Amino acid sequence: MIILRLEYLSYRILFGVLLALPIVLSGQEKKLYEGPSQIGTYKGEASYHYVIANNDTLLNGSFLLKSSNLEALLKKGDISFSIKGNFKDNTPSGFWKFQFNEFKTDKASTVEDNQYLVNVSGTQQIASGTFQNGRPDGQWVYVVQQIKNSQVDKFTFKSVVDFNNGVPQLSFTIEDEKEELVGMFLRNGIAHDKWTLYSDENIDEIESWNFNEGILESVEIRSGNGRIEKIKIFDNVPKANTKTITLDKKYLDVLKIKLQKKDSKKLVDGGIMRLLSQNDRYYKNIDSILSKKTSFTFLSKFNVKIPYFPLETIEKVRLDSISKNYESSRGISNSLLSNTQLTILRLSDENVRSLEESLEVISKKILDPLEELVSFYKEEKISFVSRKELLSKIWPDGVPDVHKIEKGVNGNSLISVKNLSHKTLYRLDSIQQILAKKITKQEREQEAIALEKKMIAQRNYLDQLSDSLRADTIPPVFFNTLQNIKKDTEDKLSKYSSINDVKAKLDYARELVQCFEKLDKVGETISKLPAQQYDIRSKYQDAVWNPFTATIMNETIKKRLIMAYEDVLIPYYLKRIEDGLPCEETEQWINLVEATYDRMLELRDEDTRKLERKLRKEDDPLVILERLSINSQIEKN
Amino acid sequence: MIKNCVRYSVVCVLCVCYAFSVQAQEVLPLESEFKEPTTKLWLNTYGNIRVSKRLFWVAQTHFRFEETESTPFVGQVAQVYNRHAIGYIYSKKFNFSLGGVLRLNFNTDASSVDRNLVPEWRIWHQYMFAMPISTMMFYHRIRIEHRWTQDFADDSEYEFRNRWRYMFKVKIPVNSHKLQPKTFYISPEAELIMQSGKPVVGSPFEDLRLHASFGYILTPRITLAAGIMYSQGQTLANPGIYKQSWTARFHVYFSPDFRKVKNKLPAIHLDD
Repeated sequence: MIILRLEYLSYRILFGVLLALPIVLSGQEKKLYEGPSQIGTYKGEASYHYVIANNDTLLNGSFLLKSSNLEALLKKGDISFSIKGNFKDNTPSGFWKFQFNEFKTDKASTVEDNQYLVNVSGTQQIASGTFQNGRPDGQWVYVVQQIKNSQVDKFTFKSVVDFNNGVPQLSFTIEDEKEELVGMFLRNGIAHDKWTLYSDENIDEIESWNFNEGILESVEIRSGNGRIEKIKIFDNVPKANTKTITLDKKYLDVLKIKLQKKDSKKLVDGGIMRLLSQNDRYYKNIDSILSKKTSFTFLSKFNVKIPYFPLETIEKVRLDSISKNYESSRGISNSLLSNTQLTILRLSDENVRSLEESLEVISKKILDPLEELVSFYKEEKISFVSRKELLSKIWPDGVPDVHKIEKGVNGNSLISVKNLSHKTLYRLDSIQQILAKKITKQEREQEAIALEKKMIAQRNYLDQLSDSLRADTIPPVFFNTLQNIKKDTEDKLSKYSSINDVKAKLDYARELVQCFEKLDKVGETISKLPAQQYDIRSKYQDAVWNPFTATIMNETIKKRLIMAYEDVLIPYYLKRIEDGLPCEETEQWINLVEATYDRMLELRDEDTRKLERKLRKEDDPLVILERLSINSQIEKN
Repeated sequence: MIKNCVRYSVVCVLCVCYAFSVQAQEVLPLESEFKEPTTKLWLNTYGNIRVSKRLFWVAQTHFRFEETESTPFVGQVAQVYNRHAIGYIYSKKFNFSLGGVLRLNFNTDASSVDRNLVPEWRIWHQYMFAMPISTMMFYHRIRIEHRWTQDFADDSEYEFRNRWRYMFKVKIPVNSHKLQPKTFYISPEAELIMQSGKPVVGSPFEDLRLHASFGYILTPRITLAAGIMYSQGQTLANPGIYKQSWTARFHVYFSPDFRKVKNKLPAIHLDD
């Protein structure tokens, strides 16, 4: 019975699995995406197949991303592109074609097969080849060509490289309009034998790089007079002390530093380096697209061997220190050299001019070379050249002394460079301090002038306010109070002028400007007080019919409130100013005066009989403020 | 209504004149005789207490002193007035009142053996017209009193008389362009008082009062004034004999309003 049941159960499980299978299969069903997409800076309409597996989108099948804008083409020209290929399990596979166009049109159009055709002209780059397992495999051709009237006019660059599983094989050619480079690889992709550059204008080779299993032993360059000049590069280098790297910009930079200046120039001017650099740049463009979409790279992988001088820990420490000092020094130098005030000051100040000239010299003779060293370190090129050789290239006359830039020779070691960078930073810092004082002094002077102008204007504003209070109808107490404020500002100005220390003076001026602004506001409030009093008096008037005169008379009502306001509170407020209202209390004072005014207007229509009784004979302003609930009014606001 | 009042007043005055012409007395002197003026002091309080939008309570108390041989003006108390009425404010320019008076008359005759104090009762009504002219105010007051008086003699009966009074008064502000608080004013005033009734035989001209006062409006509710008044009029006993007096008058005018604020408003729009 139990056995039967188990069998029955296993059938049910099997049946269940069979039922679930379509669901699992359908989970890997290929889907098509059509819509906008972007890879790096390339933004366009995409069309690709993909599957969802474990919540990941895996590209599988054809892939197309393209962009073109007819409207832009017709207006000012269009930059279009098309990236077309295949993926297999998210890995580039099969034939791929990358095409980048920069076209303009002459707007001449024809209609063919019910389609409008326009002529385009411009530049076109096409890279095409096959991938296998994500690596270039087979022949890859990169062509840059000129298009004229929709026809290929000529190519300006073409590289043809055979790959085997990402490794360049056999021979390759890279050519431009005039020259053609032909080179060889070993099976492992390492440069070997002679890489020769031919020119359309010469029958003979014009330049050749001689590799020996990856090591560039020498370069031969045919000069203008037809003579071949041989430049030794890595001669007699023990193979054990070499490292295999890609022939890219980094390698070419090491070559430049390795050679004598004149040789370096010849090499740089020569065609091989130019063509190799160009090819490297184009390949990197494709790589920038591919590496963003997949985990694969697209590099030419022209491998070479190069002498290797690994960095010791102490050297790294020193180089880090040099980098740090350099960056700080460059920061100081740049900020001082770009300071417009100093640029103006140097016209009149001998000392500033001299220091600025020192800065320029330091920048050119110390910081520029230091920058080269630091970039060699940062770009990880420093391991491929001995430090001594590098430093002697950077400073052929030895590491200079910052104080004797022209003469000083301190040897050629990283220690001396470190010392140099340190001293330079120290020196720049001291220059900065001297110049900063000059700038600060000038800035301070300018600021002080501006602040003084403002202070005077602020004081004068009190005069204007005083004028408005000179009317016969306004009690003189208001005018006098404003005069008190004015006197206070003048006392402060007098104190300001007696300060000798420039910094303290400037600080005080800043403080005074803020203070005077507040006092001006107090002045404004005082100048408004007579009008406010008038308002309140008017508001507290009631029209009364006098039976004895048979006339209507205005009667002041709630006199105790009016008296508390006019005879106690207002004098109290003015007295506070007379006693010297500190700047920090001005805001509170203004709030209090305004709140009193508002409260008085409110009280006119309130039942205040009890309050009026309480105010009888009360002459303590604080008690009155409390009774009128003016403090709570301020809190409410 | 005003017209009716005026008409009634005129009719009354004519009647008095007629009575005067037919009731001359035999003891008349050949020429009018004017007594030596007496001096008096009046301390008058005038209260107008507002009780509603249009009604007010008139409450006046006057203390009137007369000279004695040794003391001019304030020698002895002659009368104490208590005048009350209810007034109606018809408009800013016209109001009228109706009420009663209890006047206490003191016997100022030192040689008299009669009663020292006798009451006098009156019913009175008055019609007050106000006219603003320039910065001044002109007033016309008609006051009619119905009075019951008696002598100081113990067996004296009450006698009924009517008094017909017309007063013209001007208030001229001195230190202001209108009558308002903190204003001094000058107020010339003339009042003719005629009388009628059975006891009045040939002497309807009771009093002509010429009064000039100087006042100060302290607040709309309190005014103080002081002035001098000359008066003359026929004695009741002999129409040929005229009494005269100089009176120093001091006035306190007060007009409290105990109504709640909400009922006061709008005080100015009386005609609405």
